[in-house]
Amino acid sequence: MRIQDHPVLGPLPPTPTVTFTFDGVPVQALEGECLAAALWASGIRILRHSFSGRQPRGMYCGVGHCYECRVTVNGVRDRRACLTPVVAGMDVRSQPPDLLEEARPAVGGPVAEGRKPEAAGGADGS
Amino acid sequence: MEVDLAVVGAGPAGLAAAREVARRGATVAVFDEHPVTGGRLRCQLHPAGRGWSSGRPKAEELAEAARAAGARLLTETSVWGLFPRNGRGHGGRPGPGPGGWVLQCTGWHTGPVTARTVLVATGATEGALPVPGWTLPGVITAGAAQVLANVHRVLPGRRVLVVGLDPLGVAVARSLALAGAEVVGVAQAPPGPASGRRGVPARALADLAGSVAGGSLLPPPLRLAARGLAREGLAGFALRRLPARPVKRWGIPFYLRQAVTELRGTGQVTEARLEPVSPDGRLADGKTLWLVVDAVCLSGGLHPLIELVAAAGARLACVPELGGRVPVTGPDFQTTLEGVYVAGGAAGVEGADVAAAQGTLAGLAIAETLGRISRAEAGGLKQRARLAVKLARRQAPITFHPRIHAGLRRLRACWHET
Repeated sequence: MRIQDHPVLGPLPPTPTVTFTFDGVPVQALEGECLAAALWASGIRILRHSFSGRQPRGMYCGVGHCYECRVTVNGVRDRRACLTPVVAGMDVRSQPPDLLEEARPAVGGPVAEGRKPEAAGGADGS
Repeated sequence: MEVDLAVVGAGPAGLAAAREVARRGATVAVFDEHPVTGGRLRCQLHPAGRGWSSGRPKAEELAEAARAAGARLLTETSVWGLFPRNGRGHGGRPGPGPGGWVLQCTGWHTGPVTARTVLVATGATEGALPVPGWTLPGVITAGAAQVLANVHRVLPGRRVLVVGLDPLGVAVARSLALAGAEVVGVAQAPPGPASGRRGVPARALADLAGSVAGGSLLPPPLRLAARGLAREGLAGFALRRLPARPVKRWGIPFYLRQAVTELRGTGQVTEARLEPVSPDGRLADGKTLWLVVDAVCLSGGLHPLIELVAAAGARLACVPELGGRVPVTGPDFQTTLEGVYVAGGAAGVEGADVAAAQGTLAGLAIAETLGRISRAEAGGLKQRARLAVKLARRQAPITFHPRIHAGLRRLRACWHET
C-alpha cells in the first residue's frame, strides 16, 4: 500500500530498504521511516493486545500523543511505534495483555543504537 | 545543558522563533519528540485555490534557517516537565524563577536543561470521537492519515471512511482520494456529548461554512450558500431539505444526514454503520447503512496541547474559538509565567503560516528580553511581525475554528485582567 506515484508530491524517492523483525517475522522498511508506518505498509496493524478485554490495538494518532502503538523494541517496552525510526536488525515485539503484571524494566534512553541525533551532525532522517 | 532559550516543539512556530533568537547570538536549543523536524507542517497537503499546498518544503526551509542561525535541533527528545529554577515547585506560588527555568527531558538528550527563557510551541492535539469499535486497528485519526499518506507515503486504506464534518476531515478525505484511496464517504460524527459540536450536524455544517476555507470545502448544492449556512438555524434548515442520499463532490459521497454509530471487525475494522441523524444531533428514522471499509479516519477537531505550560502554573482561559483551553497570553505571546512564551497551535489552533508568524514575533520578544536587541529596535520589528501574523491569518488556506477574531479579543481581555 505504498503510494508510488503521487499527483502532487511526485514519485516516491528511491530510498534504501532495511529489514527488522516483528514478533520474529522479517519486515521490510524504508530507511528512516517509523515502525508504525513500516508495519502498516506491510499489512500489520495489530501492535499489541489490551490489558482489559485483551482486545487488539494498533496505531491511532500517529504523532506520539495517544500511546496506543506501544511495542517492545530490543527488549525495551512501551516504545511508541509512531515515533521510533526503524533500524536494520531491530527486534520489535507486540506487547501481550499480561505485560502489566511483569516487573517493569528500566525505561528511558535511546534504543536506536548506532544512530546520531540531528544536532550531532546526523542527517535529517527524512 | 544551559541555554538562553529552550524551545519545545520543532514545528513552524518553534523553528521560526529559534531562528530569530539564534541569529542574534543567543544560545538556543529546540527539542522535539519526533525523529524529524517540521512538526505537522511537514505532513500538510491542503487544497489551495485550484491546486494543492504542500507543507514539506516550507518545513525544511524553516529547519534549515534555524540551524543556519546556530540553533541546536534535538530530535527524539521528549520534554516532560517545566520547573522554575529557584526551586519553588508545585507547592509554592508558581512564578518567575530569577534563575530561569529547568526542563526535564528524556530520549536522545536525557536530564535537565536550564534555560533563561522558554518557548512552548507544542502545537495541537486531536480530539476524540468515541464510537463503539473505535479501538479496532485500522481506525486512526485524521492527522494520522495525513502522516501516513503524505510523509510516509503509505495509503491508510483502499476503502476509507472519514468521520467528522470539519475542515481537517474534508481536507484529509480529499488528500486521500488524491493519493489513490477510494473514500467511501465523509459522515457526521456519532451523536452524543462526547462528540461536542461535531455531534450536532447543523452546528458542524455551520462551523464548516464559517471557516475561511469552508466555502470551497462544501459540496456544491451548499457552496453558494456558504455565508448563510454559517448560521446554525439556516444550516439546520438546509440539512432538513437535503435528500437522504449522500451529496457527491470530488467523487466523495458526503453523508450530511447520516452519522457513524458503530465500527466493526475482527482484528481490524471492516464495516461501519451509518444511521440517519437529525440536524440537532438525534438519531432519526430511516434506513441504516453498512459500509465496507478497511480504514476509518476520525476527525475530532484540534485542541491546543498545553500540558507542559499548564502544569508549570501558567494561567489558562477557555476560548472555544481557539480550540479550547489556552494559556493567557499578552501581545508578545508571553504567558503569566515570567520568561515563558507560547506560540503556534499551543496558543490557539490556527494554520501553519500563522504559527510561523507568531513564532517570529515571540522570538523577537524573547531576543529583547535576553538583551539581544534594544527596546527601540524591538518595537519596530515586533510591530512588523504583528502585521505579518494578521496577514497570514487573512491568507490562511485553512482555518480550524470559526470566529477566531472573537476568541482572540476575549483572550486579550483575559490578559489585561491579570
